[in-house]
Amino acid sequence: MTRDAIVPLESYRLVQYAVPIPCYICETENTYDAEYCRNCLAPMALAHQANSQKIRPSMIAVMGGSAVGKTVYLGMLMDMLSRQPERMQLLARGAFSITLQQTTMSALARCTFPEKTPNDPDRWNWVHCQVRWPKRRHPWELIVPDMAGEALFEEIHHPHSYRVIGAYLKKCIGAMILVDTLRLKEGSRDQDYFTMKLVSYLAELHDSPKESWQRRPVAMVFTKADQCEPCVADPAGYAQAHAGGLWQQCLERFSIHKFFAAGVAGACVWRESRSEGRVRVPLRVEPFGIVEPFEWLLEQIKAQRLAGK
Amino acid sequence: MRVLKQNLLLWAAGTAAALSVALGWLGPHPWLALVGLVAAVCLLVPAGRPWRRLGSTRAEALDEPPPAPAQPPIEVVRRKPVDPTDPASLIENMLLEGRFALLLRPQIAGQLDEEQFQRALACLEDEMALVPDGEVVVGQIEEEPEDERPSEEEMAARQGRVVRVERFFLDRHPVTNRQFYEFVAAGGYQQVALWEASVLPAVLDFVDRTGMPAPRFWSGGCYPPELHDHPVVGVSWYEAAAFARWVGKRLPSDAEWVKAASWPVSVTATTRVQRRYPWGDTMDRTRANLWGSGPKGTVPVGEFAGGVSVGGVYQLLGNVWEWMWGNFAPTELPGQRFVLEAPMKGIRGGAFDTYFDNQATCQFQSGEAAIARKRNIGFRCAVGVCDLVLARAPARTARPAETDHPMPMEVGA
Repeated sequence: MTRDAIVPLESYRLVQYAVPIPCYICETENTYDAEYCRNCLAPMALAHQANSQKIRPSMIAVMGGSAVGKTVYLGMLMDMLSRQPERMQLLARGAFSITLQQTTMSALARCTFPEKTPNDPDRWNWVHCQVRWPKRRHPWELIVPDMAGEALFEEIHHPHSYRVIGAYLKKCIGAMILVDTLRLKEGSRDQDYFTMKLVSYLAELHDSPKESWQRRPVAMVFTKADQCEPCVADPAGYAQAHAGGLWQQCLERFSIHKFFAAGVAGACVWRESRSEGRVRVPLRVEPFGIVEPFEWLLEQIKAQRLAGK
Repeated sequence: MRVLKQNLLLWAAGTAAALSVALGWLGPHPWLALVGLVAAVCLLVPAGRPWRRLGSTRAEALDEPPPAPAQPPIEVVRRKPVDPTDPASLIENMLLEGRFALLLRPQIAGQLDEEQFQRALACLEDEMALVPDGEVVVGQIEEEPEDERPSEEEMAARQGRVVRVERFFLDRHPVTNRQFYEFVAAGGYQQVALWEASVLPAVLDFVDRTGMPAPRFWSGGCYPPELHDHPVVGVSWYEAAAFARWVGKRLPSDAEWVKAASWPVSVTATTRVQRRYPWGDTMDRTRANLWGSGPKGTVPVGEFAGGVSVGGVYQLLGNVWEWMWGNFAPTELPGQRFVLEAPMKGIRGGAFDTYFDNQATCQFQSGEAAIARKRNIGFRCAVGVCDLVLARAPARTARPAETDHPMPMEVGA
């Protein structure tokens, strides 16, 4: 049975709905109630947050091949800086920004690694956070997504297959490129080649030399370095010796770059089970070298901003 | 480069001064000789320093000298040389080296006079804590199962296994750099009998930063002086085991370590209460040196006294992981199997960089390759009560303690 009802016409709502909202990443106009951008699939919450709080967050990219440790690195970085704020403090803006930290930490505490990041951009974890320093008055607003390595791979080989990646990287003010030390140590050149492709992709992203990645700071981070002592002792020397192509590309393409070594697990073993198959699990969590690349990157960006003024 | 430039300038100035002296002497202007002499004297004074600096720079460039070795502990340097024919001097030296447990072995204790025996006992009481015998649960998984209705088999695996432990002594503190130096100075790395035969080829590789046989982060066979009382780190399981053998002790087993830390109390015949942390059941980062506790590195072994166990053992949790005697054997749930790329030894206790509370508990076990020499792994030693002579008959005869272990109350913790 149906009944008639009188619904008041809230015209101000209609007006609100009629105003298009540009996506914060690709600037495509979306309707007010869109959850994800219809063009690049970035969450529209970023745009709503920027509009409502009247802020313009900067963007930093964390990139690397599949299973290089991007999720663990980013989750660990967020957790460390939110727990120990002596050097700098990281405050998540919005509940969705804490999801990455939560999933990573709960997995590591159970001595497992977090699940692989899905390829679909609408399922990535986007982090919008505020960085504060004890002696600086103005905090920085940052957006850092946890991009899937395979999506990145696809975009590099077939540009525009993941529009969000291209649009995002064009706007980034700096990047952290992660390289798997274990695979380099095993003698595999895949990491070297993949990172060379990534560097090359970044270098070709802009037409104008003023906007190019040549002038943007890039931190090259060797992940899983706890299993490789020479890398911890001298990351740049290790890059030169074991990833010669990457080393040369960095010299040629990035005027501001530095190599770092980082690790999260003290030791790892393989665990076999019927449900999961064969997975690598950490035996304990003892992070090192996590904050340093991020800190260096922000210092370089700050120096550039001061020089620009 | 800067030094080289300075020296080139000095060369040029010196040559000019010499030329002016010669011209003044031979030529029509004798005042030139005077000016040249004054200039030469002025140049000679500062010239010495840059030359010396240039010399050192060249030496560094040609052949990188090892970092200056740290000074060995003064008490070790001043110690009188031991006369191998004099048992009294030998025993005295062993007491100074901290090898009292070896002196209290039934085979040796008979050689000690009453004063030496009492001193060895006093050292034992000071440096080691008595852990009583009893049962302890090992291998328990403390986290809640992910599955809401785990099988009985899984629940049984999660509860761990009960192990019976005989009474034993455990070092009150982790072995310090100072203590390990005694082993290095006494030629411990060269004494083949102390090492497992299988690892002998690797012993040559157990060197410090300067290539001397010593823990990995030392220089010139000695530790940095400011780390005197810090736990020794950068030692493999084999080095730890060799040291323990040298002092007449051994590494603790998993069950012994868990018993000392969690101090189980039997409530009924089948149930017992065990502590999650040595001080209780709630994590308190002011009681253990873990990530977020402050120091961000090792601290002296006497610090974090608030985390002392019931039996009086310090830093069982935090500061450095401790090598266990046994192999790493993680608890496997039904249908699960761990595959190790290389055999691993167990480590327990967490370290200054341990991030999670649940990885620094009395039950948590991790593993590391026996040959690894990491900056956050150290060790402490144990010795069974049954392996020592703790009292003896007035006739000064050593009594093998395997059959009877008299345990005077004052010896215990």
